[in-house]
Order: sequence, then C-alpha cells, then structure tokens
Amino acid sequence: MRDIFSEEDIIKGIKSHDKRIINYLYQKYYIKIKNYVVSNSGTISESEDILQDSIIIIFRRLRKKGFKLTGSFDAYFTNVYRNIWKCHTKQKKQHILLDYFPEDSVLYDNEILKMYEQEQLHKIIADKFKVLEKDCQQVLKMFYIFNRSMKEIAFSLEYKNEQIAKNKRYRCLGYLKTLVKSQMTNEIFHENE
Amino acid sequence: MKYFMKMNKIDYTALIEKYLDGELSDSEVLNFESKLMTESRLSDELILHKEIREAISDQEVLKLRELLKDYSSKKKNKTKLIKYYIFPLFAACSILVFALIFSNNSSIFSSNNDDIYKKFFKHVESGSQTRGVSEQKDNDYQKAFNAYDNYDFKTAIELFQKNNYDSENNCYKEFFTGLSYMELENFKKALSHLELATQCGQNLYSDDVLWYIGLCYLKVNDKEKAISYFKVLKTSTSYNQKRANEILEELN
Repeated sequence: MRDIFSEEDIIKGIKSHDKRIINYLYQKYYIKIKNYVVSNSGTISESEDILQDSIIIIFRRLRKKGFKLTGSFDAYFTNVYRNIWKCHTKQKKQHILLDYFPEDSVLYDNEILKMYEQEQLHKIIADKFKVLEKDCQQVLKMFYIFNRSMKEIAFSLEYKNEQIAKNKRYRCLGYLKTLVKSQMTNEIFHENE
Repeated sequence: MKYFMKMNKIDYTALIEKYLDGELSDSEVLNFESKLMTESRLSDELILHKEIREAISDQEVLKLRELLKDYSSKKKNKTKLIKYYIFPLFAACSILVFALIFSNNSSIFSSNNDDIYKKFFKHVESGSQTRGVSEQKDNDYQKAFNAYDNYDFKTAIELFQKNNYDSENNCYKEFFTGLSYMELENFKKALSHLELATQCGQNLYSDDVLWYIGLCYLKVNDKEKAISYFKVLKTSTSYNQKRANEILEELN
C-alpha cells in the first residue's frame, strides 16, 4: 500500500484523533499485526486489541513533552506492536518463542511495556466506571474531571452538605475499587487456568 | 492517628483521598507516609487511587479508546455487509443510519462550510470487493478500484485516467476519479471529473454525483451553487432526498 500521508500528517492525526489517520493505520497495519499475532499463537481478536493498544500507547508517547521520533514511523509502529504482543503473551504466561521467526528482531522497550500494563488497568477502570450508578458517576466526574469543589458538588447535586457529598464520593470510589480489583483477580485467575 | 485506628477495618479509601487532596494535618501526613513504608497494602492502594484519578480524568485517552472501539465495530459490520449485500442496498442502509444519527444531533454541530462538509462527506465504497475479477475485461480498471478501496487515491486516479472505456464504465471512472480527488482534498479537480460524470444520464451513481458536486461547491465556498444541487436532490425521489433536506436545513 502506497503511503498517502506523510509521517508528519500521521503524527498530527494521531494527536488530534483524526478519523482519516485512524482509518489509514487500520488499513496499513491490521493485516501485518494479524499475521504476526496469529503466527505467534494469538487470535484474530487479540490482534485487533494489539492494534488499538498500539495506537493508544503511541498517542500517549507523542503527547509527552520532548518526545522525538528517531527512526521512521513505520519502524516505530512495528516495534510498538511487537513489544505489546510480547508483554501480552507474558501476561498470559504463554511461553512462545518470539524468535521463531528469525527476522523478528524486537527492540525491547521497557517504557512501552509499562505503558501497556498501565493501559490495561485504565481500560478496566474505564469499563467499571460505566457500571457505576449514574449518581456515583456524576460525583466522581465533577470532582476528578471538572475539578469542582465538594461544596459546589453538594450544591449542584443537592446533597445536604459538603460532608455528605464527600462521603458519597468515598463510597463510590470504594465501590469502583472493589470492581476493579475483582476484575483484576478474575483475569489473573483465568490466565492461570 | 484516628485514621490509622480505623484502618483495622481496612478501608483506606477516605484516608488516601484526604492524603491526595492535601486534607491531612502535618502529623497525619507523617504517620501516613511512615505507614506507607511498612504496609505494602496501603502503598498498593495509594497507587490504585492515583491510577483511578488518571484513568477517569484523562479525557483524551478515553475519547481515543472509544473512537477505536467504535471504528472497529463499524469495520466489522461493514465487512459483513459488503460480503452479503450489493452496493445499492449497502448505500441505502448507511444513508438511513447516517440520517437517523444526525437528525438527533444536529444542534451540536457548528454551521460553517467545513464543518458541514465533514459531517456529510462519507467515503463511498466502490464495492469492488464484490466484483469478480473475471467480469472485468480491463485489468487497469479493476486495479483502479482496488487502489481506491485501499485508500490509495493517487494510484487510483492514475489508473482510472489511463484508459477510456465504454460509456457506462467511463461514467463510473469519472465518478470515482472525482471522489478520489475529494479524498485528496483537491476539490477543483474533483469538480471537473464529477461534472463529466453528470453527462452520463441515469445510472447507479447519478444521484450520488449530484450530491458530491454539491459538497465540492461547499468546500470551494460557492454556497449558492452547492444549494442549487442539493435542491435538485431534495425534489428527487432518490435515497439522497433525506440527506439533501438535512444539509439544506444546516445551510439555511
């Protein structure tokens, strides 16, 4: 596939969530990742996750101050998805010989691996947040996203006073933590099965 | 100290939040931090609180994650449709979905030409995936559609313009050349090809040609001409009638 976007366009597009660039990345890398993942004992659905996680991790890196791409974007993307797959298989405790394909030289990148683990946790948190009751979501959103004071939250959501609103926030957060922890325990349990 | 005494019940939530919000007194902070050194569960919980704060408040990543999920599910649906239905049915369904979505959300969009264009311009699938290669006499013609479907618009244009075909295929050639130029945001060139495609009379894409000409005029800031094309579609009985009505409402 001939490149229709320059590297600068791609980087800008990832930063701004440009749908054309997302589409382009899917067109360009989906088959490559699928072949790589499936050849290394993965599934098609895992390859889709690896592609999405790669884009998110690249986005996180691009917005970091001072980050500079040293090689080509293509080489960078390839290294990211291969590192992520390595980390994913490690998490699944699969012992796959990644050097089965001699041409696969994966440049080990610790930061990518850390970011991948963090992304897995953030995905669980975001999913479990959606499960919370609407009033819990509201309190947490107002505090953590919109930086509203507990006094303002109490007034807006008609709690009797600031302390009651605060207690509500702690309860909701506590419940969210329970959901997240239980999901994490389940995943570890299933991985060990 | 009072917080640590309650910790036997082991709910650190309030304590950690107070610590992160800067609501603990100096001595409570000291106690908390010394406890962190010795109690791994408390330090794990503190990390979890920080991650939750980051995960909830990082709206950019949340949006990107949703966008990717949405894209992926749309892609899956699209593949199934292309596989099982012919192009006109696919086009009609997507326009219906498109119309339903935007009819409920029109107020959230601003009304300048670029935004309206972005809202209404949709990539047209050529449907070449469903064409049998054996049915294509001309290899360049098929390759051009393949390039178009792979979003390689420059190659598609080169291949489309390489040859002349019989009248119907020539019309499709001009239409998809026009669309390719639109994808490359060269609207003047797009117009010249789309206008050639209007000379073909009634065919599978004749109404779409008018729709995309209207969008091109919008993009070159000739609102009056754009409106005149949409008005033609408004009075037609095609599946473009609904979206023509919607875009006219936005333009007014």
